[in-house]
Amino acid sequence: MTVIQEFLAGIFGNNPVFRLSLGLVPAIGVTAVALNGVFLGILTTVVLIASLITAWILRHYVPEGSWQIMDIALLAVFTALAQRILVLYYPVMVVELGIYIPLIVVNAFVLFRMEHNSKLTISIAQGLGMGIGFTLSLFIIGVVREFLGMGTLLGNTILSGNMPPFSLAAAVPGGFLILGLLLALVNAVFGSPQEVDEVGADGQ
Amino acid sequence: MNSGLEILADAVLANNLVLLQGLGLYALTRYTKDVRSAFESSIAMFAVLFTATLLVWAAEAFVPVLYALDLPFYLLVAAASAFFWNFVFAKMPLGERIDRTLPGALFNSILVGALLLLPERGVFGSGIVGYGLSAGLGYGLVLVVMAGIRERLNLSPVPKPFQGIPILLITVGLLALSFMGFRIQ
Repeated sequence: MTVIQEFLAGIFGNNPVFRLSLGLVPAIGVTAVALNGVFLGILTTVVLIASLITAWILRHYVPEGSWQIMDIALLAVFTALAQRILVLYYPVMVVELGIYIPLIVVNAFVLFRMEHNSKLTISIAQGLGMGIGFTLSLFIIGVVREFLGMGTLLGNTILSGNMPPFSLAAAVPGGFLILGLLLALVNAVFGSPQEVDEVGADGQ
Repeated sequence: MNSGLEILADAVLANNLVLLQGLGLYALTRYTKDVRSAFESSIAMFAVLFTATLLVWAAEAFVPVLYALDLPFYLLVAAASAFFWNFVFAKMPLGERIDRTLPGALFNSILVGALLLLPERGVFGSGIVGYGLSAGLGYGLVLVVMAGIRERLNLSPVPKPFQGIPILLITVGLLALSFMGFRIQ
């Protein structure tokens, strides 16, 4: 596959949340507000790309058996770094996202994507595509949940208070229900995906 | 919050890590195909959480403020604990089946999530180990219950778009709704 095809596959055919059912924890945890979801999605993409590039440079100096440990270490370093920088510039966002920023390290789709490709462009295209696909899915789930749960859309009030908000949608149980219904809708339109059983079948 | 019963009720029912914090969904969607694998995953996670929280408790004695401990430390503790049990289960007669789910335990957001939630839940001292054990119990409860429900779902006529993950998430949502009843708002 070409670079463009790899990039587009990450957004549509291999969308982490809607097609592969990976990364469901942030998809439910932070999407009560749509912008929080977008923010975490972008942050995850940046951490993933930075780790991919560094891993590609370092793999000539690290024995092949230790690559997985190196991947985890790099992800941890970049996540901790991102958190430190965010505390300086967007302290409100760090409080809003809470434990979900550190949890980027154990995000199933990030671990799934941290594979070692001999060509850097392919790795980056795959990582960027899946990152954008992930951000897009968090945005879609976030818009639905925010509208139902608080009657707002990206922070702007839509329902003027004559109708009480469906506050369950903003809570975690409502997140399960809405994500389940959205996944079923995607399956009905595009057909059921084949299941990815284990993260990185090479034994992660 | 540092009495034993309070921590147990909080981690198993009122703030169940899977149902009401939304962690560990990878395990919930993959390890619940049958009750046996759910049970094995629960035992592995219970053991790993026990040693991981034991290590955090020991470290807390040297680093007085728990808030100073951060992600790299928690990851290190989680990895040490997972590899320790990997080694122990490999030596045990029935261990080889449990052993299989252990590398997954390190990447399970329950393990790292439970450690990261410690300051937020306000547990300290030996309560940390209590929280780890309770979180393991709550995780096991949800996994085994979901595996039981899933075995019955396999026999039910589910519409095609809902088959697989969607119906599972909706079932989890309904289960989570019932657990919300344990919370006082």
